[in-house]
Amino acid sequence: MSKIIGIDLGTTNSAVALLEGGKPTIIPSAEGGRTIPSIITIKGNDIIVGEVAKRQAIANPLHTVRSIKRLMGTNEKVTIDGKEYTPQEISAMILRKIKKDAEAYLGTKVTKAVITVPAYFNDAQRQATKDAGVIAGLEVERIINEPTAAALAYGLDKSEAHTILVYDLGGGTFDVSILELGDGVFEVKSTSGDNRLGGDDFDDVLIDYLADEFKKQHGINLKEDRLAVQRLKDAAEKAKIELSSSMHSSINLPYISSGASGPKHLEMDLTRAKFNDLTKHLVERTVRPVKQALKDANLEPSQIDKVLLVGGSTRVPAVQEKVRELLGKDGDKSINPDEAVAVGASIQGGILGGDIKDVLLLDVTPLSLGIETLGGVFTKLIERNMTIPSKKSQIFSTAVDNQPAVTINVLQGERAMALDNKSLGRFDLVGIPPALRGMPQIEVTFDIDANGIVNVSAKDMGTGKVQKITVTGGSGMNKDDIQAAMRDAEQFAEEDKKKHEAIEVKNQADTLIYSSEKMLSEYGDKVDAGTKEKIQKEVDALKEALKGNDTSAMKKQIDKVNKVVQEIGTKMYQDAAAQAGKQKDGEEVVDAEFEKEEK
Amino acid sequence: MEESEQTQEAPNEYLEQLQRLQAEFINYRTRVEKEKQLMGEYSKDIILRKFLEIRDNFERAPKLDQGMEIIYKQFLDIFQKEGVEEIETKNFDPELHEAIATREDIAKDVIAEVARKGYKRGDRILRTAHVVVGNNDGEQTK
Repeated sequence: MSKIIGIDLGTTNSAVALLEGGKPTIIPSAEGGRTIPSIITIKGNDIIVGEVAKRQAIANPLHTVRSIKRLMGTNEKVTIDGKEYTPQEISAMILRKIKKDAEAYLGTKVTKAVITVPAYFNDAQRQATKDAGVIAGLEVERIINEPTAAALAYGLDKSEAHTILVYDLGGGTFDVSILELGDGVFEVKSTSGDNRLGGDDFDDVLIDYLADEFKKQHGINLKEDRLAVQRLKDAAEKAKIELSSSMHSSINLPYISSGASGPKHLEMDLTRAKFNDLTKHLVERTVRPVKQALKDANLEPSQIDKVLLVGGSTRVPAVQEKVRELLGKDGDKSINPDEAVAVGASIQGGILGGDIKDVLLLDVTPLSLGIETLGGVFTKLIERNMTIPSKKSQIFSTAVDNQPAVTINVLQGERAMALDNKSLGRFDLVGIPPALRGMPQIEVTFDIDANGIVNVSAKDMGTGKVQKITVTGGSGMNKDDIQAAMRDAEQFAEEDKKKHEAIEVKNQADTLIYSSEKMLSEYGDKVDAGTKEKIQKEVDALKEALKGNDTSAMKKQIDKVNKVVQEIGTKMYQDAAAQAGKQKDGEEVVDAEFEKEEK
Repeated sequence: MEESEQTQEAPNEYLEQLQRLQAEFINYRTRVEKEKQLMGEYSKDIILRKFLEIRDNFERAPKLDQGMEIIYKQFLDIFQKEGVEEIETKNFDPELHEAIATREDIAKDVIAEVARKGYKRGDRILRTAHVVVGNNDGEQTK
């Protein structure tokens, strides 16, 4: 059965996504972009769509069509080279390109699609969009509203939020929609917007500012030089993007122009505050439509349960602040705003195609699972958010010589130390034959089934002895507990890291003392008494340090021991090499390797 | 009879779902493998693209002193070793060039000026050339 793709057929840009294994994936265009400019060029029999059409728009303005979405549902036609095209036909060209790219990317045929339209589209406009799909060779399984798609992308059809405001500031249009969710169905309560406001306006303001500043400084009007304007344009867009994540951006355009006194450079530090100031009037223009939408829906800002930010321009921090100011809450922006609508459309496609069924909805482990290891450290075997069913094994060993049993303490949580996590159960694996520490191999396996039931087993690889326990991974904690656990993990992250490091150093010191003393007792006769004494002295000092709690002192002493132990190691390697040279026995060589590991 | 049909149906449905999921996973894995191979090259492209801006500025400088000249050569050497090639700019091709303006005194689709050089690496475009394109198709005079 063919998959149903989700298409966001936008005014400025379009995007397409598909549900794979229950997760939405954005399908990149053949040119590698995650969105496709909604621009087409017709030259003779050649139809060029997207990025490539955009590149030649200036060279072939009469053959290029932009923003065809604005004409959908009207009787207006576009004439190119004397031939008339309906808006449906032009839109179909974009859809055909999307279909082709998706097929190339997925390696399978694509015949079905869900296409999104603005909530304010009337029947004629919706029908025209559907027709465009048919012309492009797509079975349009459903036309859905863009804000509804955004809400689906955020999983709001399953949430408790009832009243949702979608603030969509795209490349060239601004839409506000208020939705109400009831019985899993979204109802559009009101829409408003400004169909001539978008990201490009922000760029233009910045270009003007840069040119004005340059003129003030050097008396040269850069806007008269089209090459300089292009450089300003690129720099302005880059600065805008940079100012979304940092507080200032440096604009450097050396040799931008030349005056009587030689070359002129544009060098400017632009702060976010300045950028906000410059674009204030643009952000202000979104206020009235938001208020209008609220008024039309007969709602107060406080009655909005959730605000979703959609469209690339909502990345501008001043826009986010304005939303907070207007609605008294932060807008959710956790899904890429350029992609949220396409993602939602693909989810709708998944629902229609039967991909999303309860039986197939795979769960994830809400918290990490693992066991307690030497020094009370929590060693994770299954990281949180891993999709289940899942199975993972790891080999552990003993901590002391001739250890007859190991205790497996099954833990759940995010903290670094075992004590700070929840113990789900424990068991002992006994009857481990006497051996030096580190020698026995105990394989610990965590196996979680689709219901979150965890089977933990420990197997002594030497004897084949197995012990196991069955615990319930998720049900041990309710939603609040899980959230509390996550909060704790964040809050104590720094402290935990320190504790964890201290234990690791201690473990390291302990292992080093053990291996050094073992080495001294086994190979001590191969070095002179002086060296031996020196090593013992440093090892004793490390033992002393281990009694205290000074991690840095311990680290220093570890380095010292390593250094002196190396002497004996080097000596042994030399001996081993000499031996191997004499007799190709190999036994000595193996010994040497073994020692290397021990260090 | 009805009951047995129902029980018959469920396993079939599961089997179909399993098969679909399996196929989807195989396709996914194949694609990810392919992407992984290209990932290293893509990361290089990103860095090289940033360096190209500096290269542009070197080229804009009217004169470099001898020391800077050597540094510049050293810099160019990196591009050469990484297989970065300049894109030709004779006739306008939107696969390689982006038109930023037109000129009426130059024949249609002939590149009149290069505002920003374009570069490719193998068959991948690192960045397109920004060009001013001729727009005189002979009919303009009528």
